[in-house]
Amino acid sequence: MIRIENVAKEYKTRKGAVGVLHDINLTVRPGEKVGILGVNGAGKSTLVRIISGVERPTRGVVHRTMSVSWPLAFTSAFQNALTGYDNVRCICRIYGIKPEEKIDQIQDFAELGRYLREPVKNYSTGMRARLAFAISMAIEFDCFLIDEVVAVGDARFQEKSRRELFEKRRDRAMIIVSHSPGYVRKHCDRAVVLNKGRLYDFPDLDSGYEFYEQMLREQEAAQGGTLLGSAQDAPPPPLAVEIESLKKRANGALAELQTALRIYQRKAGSPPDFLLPGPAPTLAADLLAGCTVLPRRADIVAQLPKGGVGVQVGRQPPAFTRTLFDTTQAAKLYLLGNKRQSAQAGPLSAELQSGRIESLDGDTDEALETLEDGSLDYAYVNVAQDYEVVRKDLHGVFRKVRSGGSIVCNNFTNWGVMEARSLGGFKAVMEEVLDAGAQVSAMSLHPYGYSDITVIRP
Amino acid sequence: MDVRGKPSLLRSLNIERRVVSALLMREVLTRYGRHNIGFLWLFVEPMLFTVGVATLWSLLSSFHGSDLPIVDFAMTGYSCVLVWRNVISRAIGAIEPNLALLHHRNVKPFDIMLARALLEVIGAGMSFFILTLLFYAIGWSGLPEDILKVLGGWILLAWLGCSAGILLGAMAFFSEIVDKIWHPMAYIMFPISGAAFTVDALPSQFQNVVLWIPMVSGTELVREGFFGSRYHAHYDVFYVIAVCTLMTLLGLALTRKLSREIEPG
Repeated sequence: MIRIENVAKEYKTRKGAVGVLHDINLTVRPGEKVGILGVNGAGKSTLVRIISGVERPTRGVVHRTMSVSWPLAFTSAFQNALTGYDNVRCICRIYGIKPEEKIDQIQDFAELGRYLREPVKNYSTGMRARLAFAISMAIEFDCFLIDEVVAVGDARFQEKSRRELFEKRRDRAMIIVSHSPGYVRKHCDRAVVLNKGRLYDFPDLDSGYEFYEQMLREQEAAQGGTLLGSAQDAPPPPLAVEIESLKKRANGALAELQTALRIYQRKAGSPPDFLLPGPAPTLAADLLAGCTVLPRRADIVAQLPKGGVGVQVGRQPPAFTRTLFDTTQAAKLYLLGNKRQSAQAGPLSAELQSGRIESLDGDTDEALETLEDGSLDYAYVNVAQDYEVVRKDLHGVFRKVRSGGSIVCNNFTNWGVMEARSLGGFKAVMEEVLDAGAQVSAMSLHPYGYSDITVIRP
Repeated sequence: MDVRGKPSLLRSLNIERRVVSALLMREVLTRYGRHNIGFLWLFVEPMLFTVGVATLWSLLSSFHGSDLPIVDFAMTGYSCVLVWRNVISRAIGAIEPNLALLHHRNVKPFDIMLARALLEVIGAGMSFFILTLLFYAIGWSGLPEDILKVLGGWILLAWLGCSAGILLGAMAFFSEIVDKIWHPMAYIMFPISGAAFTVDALPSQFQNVVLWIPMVSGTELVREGFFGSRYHAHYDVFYVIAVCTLMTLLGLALTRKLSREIEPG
């Protein structure tokens, strides 16, 4: 796999640093064929050099677990004074390959005949390219970098190299960089577009291709229909196009996730533990005896004790805190694990100034300890967190809430498509309720499945 | 291919060894080709130099401040000059003509300079070794009295050459001035490097000053090993080691910066 993470490249010039690549992210899996489309000056060559490792990014990292070739048919890595044969030997040695084992294959493929023993400086451009291509085939890379169309030699040789590359080595990954969508279309599974140093990623060929065509049309229009060459002053692609491409990308990712999970479940017999931290216990039926199901989450807030002392654990938007405070007519409300609210402005400023709402700093479990045991009438806890965090929070909450007080576990079933996060909170709540032997008094429904549950402290 | 899996020191060393040896072979071929005596030029060339200087000095019976045989004196002295001077000269400007090699990800500027430096060390070493045997065989000189000392001094000088070579080689990439200044400097350094005089023959107030030049200690150590009891050497090995260590570290740091910024053609 090749994983490019937040890569940026700047070049120093007399007038200061010029950014060529900005915040590039791209993953190439084994066997995947990715086309990078971009007009001249978009930063393609720089990106290729960074992927091959010849140049280092100014910021960001490139992880490689595959061997990556140099740009294919690239001829400037030869020493001109040496013979083709000596060049082959040197390059083979650098890659730890015995030249004797490969020389016949290279000789055969490059069709140089007796010229192999002549200095490279006497070669024609075609001969050099053929030799370079032959060497790259001899060193079995996991991923081939192909810069622009590989048009080496005559039609027969081209056909031979196509067979060698795209048929015999179709299990390898390939990164093809081109300004010509045709070539990319023919050989790639997926296309990404590089424009003004930014990369637009697409899950499949068509959406990338569409985006690129659209971009070319718009750039052409913006420049009075004269351009295909420079992209320096071209406008960025419009938001609607980007949103459309993100939608396709998310759809693709979702499909891929589903497939992966299905296969995982079939092979491992259970969902992966990053989604379910072990099976959650089943509640005893008597704990659910008096439980009512409410149509909306707001109804659960309406049922909380009025005029008492409450605590809100975990992050909530200020507007919600406002509703919670007003609905419960709380004498005092503590906010834990929340971003510090401004006492000068915002929906809570008056109460924060008067002290009826108080925000406590630090980790939620530590902040909880500063409150007196059994002093709270209710707690509203966001349990869309990791298992351990929820376990710790609830443990504290059960001691701080008075007997008969209410504990709301908000986002109790937090599995939403938007989060793709672990269901740790669910397990933690089930365990805590069972441990405490607490009655579940209400559960509310939510259109996207973010349900809440109210538990009465015994 | 060793490109997969976790990087480990052993694997990296293996790659380094492979790359440097490939570059060494390539350098030999590029410089000496396959014609006439080929790679033998590697040490025949410095041998010719040394023999020439030894002959010249014998004819002029130039002053060297001791009663040592002039041939031995010239051979030890000039062989010592060759190792540091050639290594540095070749390391400077090593990168530019080999830029294309950097397209192979495992090849770093450091490897190119190291390969060139090692080649010079090998050449100068072979030349010294063969000449010693040759001159002994034809009765012009004796054998070294303490081979380990000769080797120690020689290794110090080689290290000095390599560390200075890599440091200056990297600096030369950032500024052309280094290359321009090096040639006159090499010329001036030759007579004051200890090759053409013995420290013992200098007035005592000069002796300490001269020892600030790190090559002097190395050369003196080689001569002490060679002539043994007949020679009264002055040297400060720890000073030379300190200088070498410092230059090695600076050289490595600068090479690192260089490989970050370099843009192969």
